[in-house]
Amino acid sequence: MSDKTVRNKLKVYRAMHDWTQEELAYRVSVTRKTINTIENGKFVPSTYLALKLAKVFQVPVEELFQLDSEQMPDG
Amino acid sequence: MSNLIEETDRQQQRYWKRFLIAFFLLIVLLIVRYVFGTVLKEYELNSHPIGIVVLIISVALLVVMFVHIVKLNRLRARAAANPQLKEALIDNELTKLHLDQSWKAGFIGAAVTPFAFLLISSFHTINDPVLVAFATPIVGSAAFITTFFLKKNR
Repeated sequence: MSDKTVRNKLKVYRAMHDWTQEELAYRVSVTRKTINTIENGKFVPSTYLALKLAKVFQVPVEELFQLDSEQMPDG
Repeated sequence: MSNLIEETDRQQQRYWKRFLIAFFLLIVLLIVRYVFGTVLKEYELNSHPIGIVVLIISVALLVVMFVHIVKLNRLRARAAANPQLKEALIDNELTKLHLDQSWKAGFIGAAVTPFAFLLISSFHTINDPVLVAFATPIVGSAAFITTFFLKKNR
């Protein structure tokens, strides 16, 4: 488990597509538990998996995953 | 929707669970055997039926563990042959993270055990160095297996 906090809209996009966790997991070739831990913020996926998830939802990766505002660098 | 990935994952969990149960029962039996073995030896009751029953159960548990290790390896080989299963179950980054954490727990478990015996030896004399030698890898393995199983099922 990572202590990095990354917000994600996986659940929202999954609901929009009317997909179950298992269905999404199958589409990106992971287990349902992997999707579940990502959705609950317990696990931050790698760039590879984040890009795959963004690809199946046909959205940019930053639309799906965002850093918590307090973690954003100044500038 | 039921798919091959989930079915294989669930099957893998079932095998792990059975292996873990057999492993812990065996540890309990080994402790019982060690504690009561001293008593049995003292009263020259080594051929007592309890000793034989414990031995038979221990062998049966070892067989169960061996069968499930073989089953887990066969399942892994089957998954490795299928690109999608390989990606979802073997190359899975969450599983790899769980494995890393389990190795750490196993290492800590094995490293701490001799110190625990050192601490116990200040209150109670430990005459059996074999006990320490056996306990160290057993505690390490138990810590590894338990951590992996708990992480996977959380």
